Amino acid sequence: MDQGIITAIRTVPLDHYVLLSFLLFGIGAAGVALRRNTIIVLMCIELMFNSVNLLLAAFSAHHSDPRGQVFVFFIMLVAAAEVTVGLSILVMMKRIVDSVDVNQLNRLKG
Amino acid sequence: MSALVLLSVVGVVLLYLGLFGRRTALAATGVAGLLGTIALIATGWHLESPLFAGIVRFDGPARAYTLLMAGATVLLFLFGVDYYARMQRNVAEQYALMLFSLVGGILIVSFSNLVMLFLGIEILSIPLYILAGGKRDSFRSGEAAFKYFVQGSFASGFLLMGLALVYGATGSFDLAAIGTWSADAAHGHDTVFLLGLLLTLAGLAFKLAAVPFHFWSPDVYEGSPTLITAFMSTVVKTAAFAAFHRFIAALHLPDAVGTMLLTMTVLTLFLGNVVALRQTQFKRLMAYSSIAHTGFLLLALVGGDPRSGDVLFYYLAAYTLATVGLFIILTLAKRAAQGEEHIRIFRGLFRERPWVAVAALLMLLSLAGIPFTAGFVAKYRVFMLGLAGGHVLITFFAVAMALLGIYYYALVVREAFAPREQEGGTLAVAPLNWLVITLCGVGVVALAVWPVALP
Amino acid sequence: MEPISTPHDYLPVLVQAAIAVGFVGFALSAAAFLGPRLHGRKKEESFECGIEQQGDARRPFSVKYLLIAILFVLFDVEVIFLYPWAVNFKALGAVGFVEMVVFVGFVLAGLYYVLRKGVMRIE
Repeated sequence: MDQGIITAIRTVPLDHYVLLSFLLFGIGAAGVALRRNTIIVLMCIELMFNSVNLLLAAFSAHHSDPRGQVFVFFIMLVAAAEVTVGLSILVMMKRIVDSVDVNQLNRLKG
Repeated sequence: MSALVLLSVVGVVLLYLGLFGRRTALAATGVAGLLGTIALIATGWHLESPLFAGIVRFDGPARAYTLLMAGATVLLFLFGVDYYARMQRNVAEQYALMLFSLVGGILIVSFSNLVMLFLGIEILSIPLYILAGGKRDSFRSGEAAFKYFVQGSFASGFLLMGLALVYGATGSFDLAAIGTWSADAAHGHDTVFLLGLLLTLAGLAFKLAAVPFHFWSPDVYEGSPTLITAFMSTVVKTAAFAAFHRFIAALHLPDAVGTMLLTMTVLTLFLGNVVALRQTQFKRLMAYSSIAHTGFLLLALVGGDPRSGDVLFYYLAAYTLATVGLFIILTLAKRAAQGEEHIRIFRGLFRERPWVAVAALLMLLSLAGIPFTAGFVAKYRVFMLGLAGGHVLITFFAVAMALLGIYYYALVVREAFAPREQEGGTLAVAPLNWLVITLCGVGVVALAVWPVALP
Repeated sequence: MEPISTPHDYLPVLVQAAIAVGFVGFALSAAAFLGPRLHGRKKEESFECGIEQQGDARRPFSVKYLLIAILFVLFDVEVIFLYPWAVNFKALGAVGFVEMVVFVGFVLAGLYYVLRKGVMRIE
C-alpha cells in the first residue's frame, strides 16, 4: 500500500473515523427501519455497508495491515450482488402490486 | 477445495442444461454432483490442509457438517423431481441456486477467518433471497422474498459492523489469532471488542432465528415455496449453527456475552414453544417449532462444554431428517387439498396411505422428543449438557418447554390418524417421494439406535 | 511527520468553502435582481436549436433498461479483483494467472448465460 495514503489516513485520529462511521451506520439503520419507499431502503442498506468499509479502511491504516482493505474489496462485491438481487425483487414486487411502498406487503400475518 | 469447485461447476452446468432445454437431466446431474462431493469429502481427498491462504480449514467437524448438508440436499433434489414437474420455466435456476447456497454453507462450516465467515454467509443467503421468491406470480412468495431480503441485509450490516470492530480491537481476522488475543486477561474488558462481539453474534443469531432476532422466520417460511422452506430449515439452519458454534468455541467469551446467550436461549425456548401452541397452519407451526428447536440447540452451546459439538451435530442430523420428510408429506397433502395448509389436510392420512402416516408419526414423535426416536436421544443429551454446565434452572425450564411442545405435535398426529368426514382429493405419492419419506422415517429411528458422533 | 491534526489545519478548507458558496449565492442573486424577466414558450425550452423536443424526460422507462443497469453494476464490480492482480502480476506468477483465468471463466460463463437468456434483446 502506498505510504502516502496511509499517512494521509492517519492524519485524522481514529476516533473521528469511528464516530463518523457509527453516524453513517446509524443513519442507514434508521432509514431501513423507518422509510416506506423500498428504493430508499435499498440505499440505506448500501449506506450501512459503506460505513463499515470506511471503518475497515481506517482500522487497516492504523494497524498498518493491508488485510482490512482487502476485506473492503469483498464487501463491495457482496454489496453489488445484494443490490442486484434487491432491485430484481423490487421489479418483481412492482409487477405484482404495482407499488414500491413497504406497507403494501402485509398479507403474511406476523 | 475440489469439493467446492465441483459444486460450483455443477451449478453452472445446471444453468446451461436449463438454457438448452434439458430439464429431465437436471435433478440427475445435481444429485450426481452432490454424490461426487460426498465421495470427495468422505474419502478425505485434498482435505485437512488449510485452503485459500489459510482462511478455510476442513477439519473433522467441517467434514461431518458438509456431509450432513450435502445429504439433506440430495434428499431435497430427489423430492424436487416431482415438486418441479409442473413448473414451466426456470427450473434449472432453482437447482443451481440451491447448489450455490450449499457452497456458502460449506464455507461457513469450515471457516477459520472472519472474512470467510462473512463471504460464506452472503453466498448462503443471496441465492435464498431469490429462491424465496421462486413462485414468480405469487404474492406471498414475493412478499417472503422481499421481507427476507431487507431483514437479511439489515442483519448482514450488523454482522459486518461487528466483524469490523473485532478487527479494530484485535488487529486480525484470523480466528485462532483472535482466540489467543481474547484469552489474554488484559483484554477482558475491551469495549470495542465486546461491542464487536455482541453485534457479530446478533448478526449470526438472525440466521439461527433465535429470539429476539426471529421475526422474519414465520413469514418467510410460510411464503416461500415448500421445497425452499425445507431447504432453509435444514441445510441453512445446520450451516448457521455450525458456524455459530465454530465462532464461539474458538473465543474466550466475556461474561456479558455469556449472559446474552443465556437470555437468548430462555427467550427462544419460551416464545417458540408457546406461540407454536396457537398455530393451525402447518408451515407456520413448523416455523415456530424450528424456533423452539433453536432454543434447545442454543442450550447445548451455552455451556461451552467440549462435548457440545457432538451433541449439536447429532441434534441437527435428527432434526434435518424429520423436517425434510414432514415437508414432503405436507406438499403431497397440500396438493390433494387444493393448496390449503391448515393441519386438517392431514385428516385421513392413515386410512389412505398407512405407511406414509406411520412415517409421519415417527418424524413428529422425533421432533417432539418421545423415547425410541432420535429426537429423544438428542434432547436427552442436550439436557445432560445443560446440567453438566451448571445451568440447572434453565435446563428444567427447557424440559418443561419440551413437554409443552409435545402438545402441538400431537395435534398433527391426531389429525393424521382421524378418519376423514367427507371425501377429498386422493393423495398421490410418486415412487421417489415414497423412497425419501421412507428414508427419513426409518432414519429417525435408526439414528436413535446407532448414534453418530463427530470425527 | 507526526500524524496529528488540529482544527487550525482545516481553516483554508473553511475559507475555500465560504468563498465557493458566497460566489454562487452572489451570482444567482445578482442575476435575479439585475436581469430582465422575459417569459415565453420558446424561451423556456431546453435547447434553442436542433431537433424539436418530444414529451417529458421523466416518463417511466421499460424494466428492460433496469435489468441492463443491474447487470452493468454486477460485471463492473467484478473488475475490482483484476486491479490487485494487475498490480502484483509478476509476484503472483503462473498460479495467480491460472486462478484468475478460472475467475474470469466463471464471469464469462455468467455473461454467456445472460446473453442466451435474451436479456440484452430489446424489441
